[in-house]
Amino acid sequence: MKENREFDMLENADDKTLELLSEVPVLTKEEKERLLAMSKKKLDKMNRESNININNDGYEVSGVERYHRPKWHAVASVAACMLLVCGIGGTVFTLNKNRNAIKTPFSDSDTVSTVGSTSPAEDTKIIAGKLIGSFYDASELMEGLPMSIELDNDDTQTVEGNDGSPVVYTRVASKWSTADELNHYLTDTFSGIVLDDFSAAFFDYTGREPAFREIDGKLYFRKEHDYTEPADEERNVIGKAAIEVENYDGTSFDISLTTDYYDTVVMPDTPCYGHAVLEGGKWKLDSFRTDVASSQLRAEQDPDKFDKEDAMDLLMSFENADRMLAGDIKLRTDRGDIKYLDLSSPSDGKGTAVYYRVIMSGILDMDMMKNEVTSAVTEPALSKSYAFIYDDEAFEAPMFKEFDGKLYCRDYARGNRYNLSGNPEVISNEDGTYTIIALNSIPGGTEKVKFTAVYEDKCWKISDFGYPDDEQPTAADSDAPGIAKEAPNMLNDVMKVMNGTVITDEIDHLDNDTIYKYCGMTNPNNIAYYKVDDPRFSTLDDIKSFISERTVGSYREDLINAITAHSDSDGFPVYIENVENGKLYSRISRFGGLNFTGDVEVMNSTETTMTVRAKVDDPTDSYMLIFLELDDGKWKISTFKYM
Amino acid sequence: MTGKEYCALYKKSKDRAYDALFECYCDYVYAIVYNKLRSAASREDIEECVSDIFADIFFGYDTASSFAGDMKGYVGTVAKRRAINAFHSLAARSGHFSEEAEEKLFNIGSDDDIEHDSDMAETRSILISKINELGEPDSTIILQKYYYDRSSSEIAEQLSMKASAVRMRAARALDKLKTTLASAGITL
Repeated sequence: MKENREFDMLENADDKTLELLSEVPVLTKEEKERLLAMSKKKLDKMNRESNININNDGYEVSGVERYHRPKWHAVASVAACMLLVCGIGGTVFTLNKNRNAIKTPFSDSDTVSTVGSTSPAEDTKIIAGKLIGSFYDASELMEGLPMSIELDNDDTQTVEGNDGSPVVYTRVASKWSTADELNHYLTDTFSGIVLDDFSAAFFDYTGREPAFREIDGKLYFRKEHDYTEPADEERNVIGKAAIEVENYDGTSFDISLTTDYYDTVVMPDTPCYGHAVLEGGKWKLDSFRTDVASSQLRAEQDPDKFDKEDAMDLLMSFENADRMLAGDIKLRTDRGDIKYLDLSSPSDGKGTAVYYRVIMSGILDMDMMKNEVTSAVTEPALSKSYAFIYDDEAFEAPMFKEFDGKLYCRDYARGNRYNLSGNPEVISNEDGTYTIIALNSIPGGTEKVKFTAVYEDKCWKISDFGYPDDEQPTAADSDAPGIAKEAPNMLNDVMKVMNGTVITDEIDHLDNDTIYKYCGMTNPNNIAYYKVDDPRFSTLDDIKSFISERTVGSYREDLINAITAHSDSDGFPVYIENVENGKLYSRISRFGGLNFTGDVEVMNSTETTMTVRAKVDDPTDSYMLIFLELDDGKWKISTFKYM
Repeated sequence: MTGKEYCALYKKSKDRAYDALFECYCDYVYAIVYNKLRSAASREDIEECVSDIFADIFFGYDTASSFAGDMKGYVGTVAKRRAINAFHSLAARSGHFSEEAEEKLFNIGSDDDIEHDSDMAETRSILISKINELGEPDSTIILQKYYYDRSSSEIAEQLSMKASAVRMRAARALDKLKTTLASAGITL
């Protein structure tokens, strides 16, 4: 498999040689993270199988015996993938709609036994109803919504979160009193990937605090949202008639149902599919998916009517497409099923695009993905940005791509453009289109943004986006175009310096002892620091001044801290000032700057702030917003983001 | 990392214990697996095997009664065993079993050809020492490129250099290495 045969003699080496070879740093941080995630996933499976074996052998797991609770890790939640288009996770488009929640008449916490359910009669429908009800209850708990449990608000515990910040947990006062009880409930009710996801979210959510913790023998819940029970008339109920059971074979059956509403988004007649299996004498739900894609193929709309409600619905769908573009949709992916795509023109600084297999999503292939996007967005907005989500003919490495007929999602997050809020304003245009003005949250406040809605293929879609005309620069900002033109260069200057310098003396470099002394890091063998020969910089203060003259606010603080902090990907600082010889050393920059095309536009300006849109070829035909602030009489960068 | 340290961490947080163990031994395990599977497996297969090994260790290491000393021996043993199994699976999957490769794999440490083993060990030792003599970053570059089969851009990213510089240094270093090895009677 390997082409380089020069070092074949090292193969099957002795221990001493292996030791020496292991000192060569080969794995990148990303590779290590991926390998660790794969290992943990396999561990989860082994733990789960181990538990199943215990049950199959007829052993009762008691409270006395140490219960080997599965260690779960998952990358995204069932609800997040169910809600691909709804956007419950992360930033939610908080339009003032009442929260309509599914609440089934079956959603008690009883586990479903096989008693009386040996025939595919009405009993299986009741079982299916209970399982689906339990599924929605667990989905809500996973999202931090304490809708199906009671909490004792007087008993809280604050723990240190993964990022060091305090996280408050409130004691669970109903249903379960310990983690083992909750885990028993999960393993009695769910199986397969559904169990994986709930267990991961409940007990050990990678990158996020688990929904439950057992502290001093008591069970606590991390409440993320305050929830007010909706009035009964607002609550949408799945009737028994909506649930259908098929393919019953004595040990498993398929479930199908339709829902009218879920959470904040109206999704009429959304088809959902589940599968129940008989395990250990109990019926368990082992898969569930919501076919959001087909639900998003919205019903025919009136070409002569487009009001605020319509605008809100449309913007919600549009914002989800925006989040998909930004890599912000947390689809459930199989991190062990990875595809690599070598890029002929590296678009994100790396020569390879990494894709993870999308699983348990209502969107099964690229056609569905395209329908998803094009049901809310049309030309020219598609070509301007959003076709990057699905168009693998126009783009080498779009956000979603099929490999061997299976859907994969690219691991490429770059920040979303829109985080809309408030009531949009709808203006009718003479050509039959509508203009929607909405508020978009940006660092430090909000900005007005403008969308154009057109009627196409029997429904309303967003055809363009931008800023309202009255937000364009005024005559008072006569030098705004000049400032805007300089903004991309300034940003590139800052980014380049933060990545190290390109002008170095390759002979004068720091030895390992010195690096160790300044960094306190072990194994500095592969880190090279060369003397900075850039005439602009001879000390760390020069670097700090350079950054301070071009940036402002928290962005400046972060950058200045990062200059000497061990913040680079491998923990080593970018610059080291060797006080013994007074020289400044730097890692060689691997960042050549972003490819700005020179196409800039002032999108918004006040006396002290300005937003500049700059076209950038990373990836092709993208846009970036650079936010400037006037500081000490000079325009400086306060932050930036991809559009 | 000692078993004692691992167990102490494990009691506080299993996840942190797994993370620490992985960080400590991932390069070592990767080196072992790569060394065994280099000629037979793709990079994905090698990654699969490495993740299997850590899953085995996470699952199987008995924190209640484990040896308190260095875990390296345990980790190394699990890794070697798994790598050899993986080699078998890969060979079976590919449908053609290279007898030569099989022989090579199982001759390690055997007494069948002690003289040959000894010669090989000496040759490897000379090769490694000559590579080390190249100095950093060339020694790392040359091993990453010609042994670990990494591309110049990957090495460049790892070492904070430009890919063109890596290519240039790799070519020069290989020439230099060949020359010094030739003087020691070894041909690459």
